[in-house]
Amino acid sequence: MSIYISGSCCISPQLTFNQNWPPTEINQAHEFHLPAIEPQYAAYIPPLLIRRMKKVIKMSVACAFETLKTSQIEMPDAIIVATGMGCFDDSCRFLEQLIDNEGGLLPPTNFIQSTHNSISSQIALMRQCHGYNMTYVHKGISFESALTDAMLMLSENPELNILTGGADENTVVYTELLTHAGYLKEGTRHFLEDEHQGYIQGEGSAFFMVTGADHESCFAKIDDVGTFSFPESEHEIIKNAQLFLQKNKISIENIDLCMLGFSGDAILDFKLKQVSSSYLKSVPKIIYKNICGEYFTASSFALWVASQILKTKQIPSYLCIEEQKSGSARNILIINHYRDSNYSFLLVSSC
Amino acid sequence: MFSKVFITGMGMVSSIGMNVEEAFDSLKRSKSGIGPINYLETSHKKNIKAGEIQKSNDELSALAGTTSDKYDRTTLLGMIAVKEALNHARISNTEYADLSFISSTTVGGMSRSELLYPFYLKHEPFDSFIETHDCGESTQTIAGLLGIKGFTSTVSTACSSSANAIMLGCRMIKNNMCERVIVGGTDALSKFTLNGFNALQILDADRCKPFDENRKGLNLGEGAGYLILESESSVSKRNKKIWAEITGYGNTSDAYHQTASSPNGEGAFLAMQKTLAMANVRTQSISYINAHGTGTANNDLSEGTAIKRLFENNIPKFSSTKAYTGHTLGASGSIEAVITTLSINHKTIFPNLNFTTPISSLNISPQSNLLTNFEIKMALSNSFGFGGNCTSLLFKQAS
Repeated sequence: MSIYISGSCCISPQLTFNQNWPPTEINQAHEFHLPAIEPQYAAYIPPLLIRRMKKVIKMSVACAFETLKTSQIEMPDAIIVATGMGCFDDSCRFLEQLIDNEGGLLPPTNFIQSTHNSISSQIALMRQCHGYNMTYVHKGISFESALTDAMLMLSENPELNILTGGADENTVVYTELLTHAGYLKEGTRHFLEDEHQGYIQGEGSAFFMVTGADHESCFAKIDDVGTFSFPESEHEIIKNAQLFLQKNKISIENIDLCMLGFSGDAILDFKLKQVSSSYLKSVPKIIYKNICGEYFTASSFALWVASQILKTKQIPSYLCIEEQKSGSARNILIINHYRDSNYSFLLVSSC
Repeated sequence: MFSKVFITGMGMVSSIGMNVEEAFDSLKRSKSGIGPINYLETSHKKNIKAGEIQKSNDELSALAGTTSDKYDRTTLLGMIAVKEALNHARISNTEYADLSFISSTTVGGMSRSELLYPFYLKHEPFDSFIETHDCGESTQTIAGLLGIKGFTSTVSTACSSSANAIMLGCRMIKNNMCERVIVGGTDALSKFTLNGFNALQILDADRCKPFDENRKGLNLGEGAGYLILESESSVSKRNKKIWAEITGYGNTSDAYHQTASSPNGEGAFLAMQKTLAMANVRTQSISYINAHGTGTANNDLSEGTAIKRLFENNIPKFSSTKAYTGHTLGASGSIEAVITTLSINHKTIFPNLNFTTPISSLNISPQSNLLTNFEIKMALSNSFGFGGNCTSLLFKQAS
């Protein structure tokens, strides 16, 4: 069954927070990373909490509350959050304190905030929401897991309004550790042509209100989500894509826009490039990680972009890897991958 | 058509045994796994007791069937328990590809990260740990080693993590998203969590005393617990032995405080209520509750209050088994699901150890000695976590 998006909000390295689509100016990477443009949090979070909360929680809370506002839902029936790294900054702070002074009296604040579910529980706490509360932390398919959960729940009760989203933060330590491990490279203007290994680390948060029944305020629907890991070759990706579309009774010819999760890493993108030039040869294609960077929950950004394209019919040229005929896509297939290990399909269409 | 959800296999590793049989033996003999810390390199070795598994990572690797030294303790514990559950359900390795897998953990690869992080801080050479740090790593490694190709994901909702993994598995089967799924959780002891709970001042230096007036806090533990859940059609096709049915579940948010539970136990109350409502079962039908019962002043009072609110004058027998295993955090919900299933099958309630005096404001007492030949048709298992994540599961005796 399809689920319907009735509200959304996105914080990304681009000016997306106030439902600006498409952003006119594009921010480029600072060396190895693309930092998120954070909004003024004061409208959403009390000053004391703003100081205590780390970026991933602040971005999520602001997006969650803005999503509640745009969807005009006072109290969601469920909150389902996806985060690959969770509150990594708090984890590192507490680690540093205990390395300094194990056995001494350590302040518990960073430890408390380091739990992965502190994002979803903070939203529930601030909203006094006693409903279902869940957190998925499965690497590059964390957000797909959250959507799968939401779809299961809405198939049992389509009336529910579920707040779901994906969020990951970048930190100085994280960038250093990823660079040390050899994953990152400095930003380049030749996103797809660059033959070097490495990608740009991104960050952001995208939240959605989803419900099982179409109504006036809905502007896009998610028809299905599929995930798999470690494909041996591009053929396995194509086979899985065919099965996924078959299950949804749609042929590749009827996909009028494909959004590809190229990370900019020539090696990791290799299989998907093969898929792009064979199976997807005649499908119009765009990219998105050139503007959001790579991170565990980047597919939540992709879904936000897809829903905005369906809503506004506008595809900015900086996402295009070929000449676009028009922005009037009805059926969008997102193929995301994270480091060539986790792959996902998201089928998104207009209501 | 919704499918019923059956448990056809169990695996468990903890400080009270390296498999379900050893755990059952310890539970019957009131043998606790709480003791001195020997393997975790911490300056608290002398002053904090824990439910540590008395095996080195090398020994755990051998039990997990790997010779590699690259897997962290959380992954190794998970692997041992998952393999036991698969064997118990008589699922052969040719069938692994079709399985789904929902695991859970609270700190993932932290036990490895915390050893390497100091080198990073000192700008000394170190092995990369950023790939093994996140919570999805243990799940992905186990799935990769076993060749599991079905839907695979990881839940992290603090101390209710594996109860929520079980719940998701149930919902996948109920909605025919899969026929068979491995569900559960794994967490290794780490300096990170030990120091974290110590900083919160909720660790009992001695053995924990759940639901006792003079309880001082919890003992941490480590371990992994997994269940094999199968649909009705899978069970009948394969003529499988059923250990129990899961007929209800409820997940709620206490929405009270980042770490503390509400005084009236609202989240816990709602979770149990939702669970019973889903199964359409009255409170009188519940014969046993495996309580979350961590031994902290706050949890036990809040949970006890919730139990009293829901069951009023008909409080069923209840016990916390945390004084055996310690609080295994992300693994506790699934370890206690295994223990609850053992209780149902062996008609036995394992005692709440170290209990002497009821909490004065509640005046309710857990089962404090071994009770055998006690028919349990239905049992609840509670798991509550930081952030107010409350989950309750309902287990029904196989008919």
